[in-house]
Amino acid sequence: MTKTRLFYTAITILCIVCSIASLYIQNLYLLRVFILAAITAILALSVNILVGYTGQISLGHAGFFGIGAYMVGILNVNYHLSFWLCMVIAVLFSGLMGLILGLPTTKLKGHFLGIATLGFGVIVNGVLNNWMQVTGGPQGIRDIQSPTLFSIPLEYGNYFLGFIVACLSLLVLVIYLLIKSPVGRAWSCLKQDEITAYVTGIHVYRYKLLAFTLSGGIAGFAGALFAGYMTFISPDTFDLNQSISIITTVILGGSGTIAGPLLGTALLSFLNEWLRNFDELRLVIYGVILVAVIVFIPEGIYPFFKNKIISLFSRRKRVNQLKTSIDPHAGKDAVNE
Amino acid sequence: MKRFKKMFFMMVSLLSVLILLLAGCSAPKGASESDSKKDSSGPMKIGLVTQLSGGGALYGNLMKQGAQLAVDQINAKGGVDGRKLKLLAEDDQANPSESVKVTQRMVSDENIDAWIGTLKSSDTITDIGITAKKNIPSFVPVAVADNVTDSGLNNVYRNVAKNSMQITEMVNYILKEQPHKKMAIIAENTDYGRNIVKIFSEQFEKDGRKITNKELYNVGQKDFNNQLTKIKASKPDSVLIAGLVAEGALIAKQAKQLGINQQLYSFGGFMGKQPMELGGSAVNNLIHTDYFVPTAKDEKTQSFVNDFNKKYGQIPDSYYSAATYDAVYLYADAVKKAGTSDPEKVNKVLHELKDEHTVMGDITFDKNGQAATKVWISQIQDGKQVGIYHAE
Amino acid sequence: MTEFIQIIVNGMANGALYALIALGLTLIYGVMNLSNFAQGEFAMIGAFGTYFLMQMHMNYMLAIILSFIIAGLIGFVIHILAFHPLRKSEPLNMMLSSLGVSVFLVNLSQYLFSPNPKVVSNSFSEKSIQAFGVFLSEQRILIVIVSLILCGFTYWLLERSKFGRSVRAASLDPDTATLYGIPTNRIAFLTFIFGVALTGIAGGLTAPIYNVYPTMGISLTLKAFVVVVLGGMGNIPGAIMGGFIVGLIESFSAGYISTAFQDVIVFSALFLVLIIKPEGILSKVQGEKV
Repeated sequence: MTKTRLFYTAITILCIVCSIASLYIQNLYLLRVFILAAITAILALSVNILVGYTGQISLGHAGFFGIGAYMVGILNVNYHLSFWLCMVIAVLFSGLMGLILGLPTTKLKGHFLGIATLGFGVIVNGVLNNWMQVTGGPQGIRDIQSPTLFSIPLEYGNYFLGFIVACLSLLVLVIYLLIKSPVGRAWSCLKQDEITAYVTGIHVYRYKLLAFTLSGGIAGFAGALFAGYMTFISPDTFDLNQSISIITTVILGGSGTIAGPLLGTALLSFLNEWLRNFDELRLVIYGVILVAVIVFIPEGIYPFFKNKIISLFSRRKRVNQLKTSIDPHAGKDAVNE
Repeated sequence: MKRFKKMFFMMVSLLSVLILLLAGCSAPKGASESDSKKDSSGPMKIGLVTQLSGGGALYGNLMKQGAQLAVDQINAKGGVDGRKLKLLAEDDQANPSESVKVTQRMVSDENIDAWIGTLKSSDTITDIGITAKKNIPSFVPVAVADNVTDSGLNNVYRNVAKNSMQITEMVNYILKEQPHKKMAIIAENTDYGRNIVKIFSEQFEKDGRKITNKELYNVGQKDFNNQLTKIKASKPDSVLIAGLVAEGALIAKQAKQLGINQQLYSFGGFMGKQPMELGGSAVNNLIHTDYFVPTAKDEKTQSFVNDFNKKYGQIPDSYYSAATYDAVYLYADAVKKAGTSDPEKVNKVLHELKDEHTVMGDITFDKNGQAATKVWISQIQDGKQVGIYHAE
Repeated sequence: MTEFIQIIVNGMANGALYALIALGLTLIYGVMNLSNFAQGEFAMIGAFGTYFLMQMHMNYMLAIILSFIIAGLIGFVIHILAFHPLRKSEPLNMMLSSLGVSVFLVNLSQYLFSPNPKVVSNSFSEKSIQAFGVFLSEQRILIVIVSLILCGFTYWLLERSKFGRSVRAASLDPDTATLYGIPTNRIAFLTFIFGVALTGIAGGLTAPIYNVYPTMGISLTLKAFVVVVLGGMGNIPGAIMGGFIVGLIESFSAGYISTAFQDVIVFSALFLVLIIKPEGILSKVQGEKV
């Protein structure tokens, strides 16, 4: 108990330090990198609910991201609603879209689900790009109002970063509590084996829908924050590349853990900026690193190092126990021909 | 355990709100644009933000080559007032958030003295919002959407004709010199293509002529048979391609293969020799707007073309290289005239320029920073670009 | 009426190409359980191969056959490095690995060959035949013919040859196949190489009509995925049918609805199929394995 308490306190302090430290960053470039990374981290957490905890693939998360951002953009610019109201509507609406996407697709598994969600992303992007009257088409939406929180103007990067880190911390906490709750246990059960879960009396369909809704809602939240920060949105941000890069982030970091997606975001953001030193070879190296990490550490960076560190400090028994908890065959397909 | 969690939850949420409140009252001023110091003895840095990976890298590389040539030439002559120039080229992947990040990095980490960018008008508008905070002279040599120079910023210069200028020229030319009454448009699905469709059809239909089709295609698409079949069915007497050369050349080719032999029109994308390389005989007789004619008997143009050819082994294809090359020279000359790289003074000089002679023509920036450069109408005749019309 | 027939002809011509790429994809999926997002990149490799061989004044048909080998060789290397080590891990990891491979191949070829499109021209590329006002370029006819031949050959290979029997066994149940003495790892190797080499040919075939440039494969991969899902993953006749269906949906939606919403309509169709008949149009119903 004391150990857990110590752990919690440490994390709380870390979050608070991060929030405060964000006010002292003087470098505007770093500030932008951090803010965009924090938004990506929120996205990664939302994908992790599906991929990591429920065992569902999503290759169309940029769709939810875009729906959230465009809800804020459209409502704020065309109907002059306040940013916060827009944000609430955006979160609810993208959650609803998650539910609607989930209704037919929860019956699909593995690759089929992957392609279906990929299709969803392409469709959303196509609509954003072509529904000129509402979304402004390829020109996007400009002049979205920057939010103000208790008379603190968030258009200044530092305040925005502070706000977003606070949001991220809260979100991490909420997800943590959720995972430890019966809902989380049901998810992890149906991730391991759906039929067993069904037999145990878990309403598989309902729990999957819940995961889709929550995941969509959180991605929409990230979208709303993105719109508020950039004050400009266009369909290019919400394309297939975005969907792919989020799921890559989650899996590289270690899906099914909370620290994994966060670590993945941090590492990939850093990598992305650092590789700018290589000019033209940048994306070539990026591809090589991606493949290398997947090949050598398929379980994800965070679980890998966690196991390494634990095996350094404790007896062998504990390591074995941890190893078995990572199931290598979690995502089997429905139709195996 | 449960109570602890609840407490913990409340504690964190309370604290997070508290932090923000505190931040509002007693936070440091936060990062601001003004406190970085400029090194006035080192090289002057020119930041170039454009797409250097993916499909658009084709055009981004041309920009980079043009800028690099200008920088090398200026440095070979001893730089500007004894200071060398340095080009920093960064890839923005044509993605708005990447573009903003890269521009911000140049502005606050690299302390650039001038900024040049990008391929996409929408990204350019967002980026110049960042450079404007430090008043960094920002050149827009390639992006042509009208609203780039509508934002009322004091530090933005576009040394290429804006979209509506070239469209107006084209419409006027067709109305005056060509008999075509029914035109079909095939446009790329970007703000560039969409704007052309909008402005062109407004102006063209004013005179009682008709636009039969407005078909769109995505950038990177390779097969246009579907669009072209639709166009063919409505029997226009000419076809306008509102897109760039990579897709445009394929459209011309596939149109011929579908038996569409009508007159083709297009815009600035079809400059240079690339259309002939990619389109072969299919682009013959195509009429397009032109900002820059490498064969023009202008001394400056000739030396640019020769130097470019010497350095990269090819004739500069289009205005991408030429306009970016000009942008570097415009900046260097302004610094020379101002005697300092102080942005305020350089901006003042740039606004006062009168008929500055460059490769793209004589440049005078209006109060929004838009220059009225030459727009020719050219035709591809037997594998050569021939200027056929120039409104005075 | 002419327009209607032209739309059908366009759709079928494109469909043949999609079928050819989807064929490789579906083979690889069936045996390795891998959604290969780098499939289109092998078309790019094949196209570049054809381009450079033709620069060396090689005959076009010979260049295409060699591009089959080039794509296969590169596929061999990629398989060893990026997929073979992951054969026991989650399918999701393999998919991610293929995404990495795709990023790598696109950007490497851009670094080596520059992003400028390259033109391949052969004796077919400029001409087209005409009947009753309907046009079809000779190159597209060549694509349809070669594609049908290759589809037929692959089908024969799978149904009649010893290799094909092993492939089918390995894709039905790898464990049992191993018990019966089928070298499943080697089969996976061969299937991958054959699958990407087929796509390499598709690249060589499209080079004269689409030009050759590093990012040419990406949209092909997406289309191939739609085809494979429509036809049923791992199902050869399904992939061929699916190719033509996608080609037709595309040309009809462009012709009669909207060219801008073309992709949206194709993917909506995919969505509908997934909801109504997730195992694909041609597949027989299979229950979930417990």
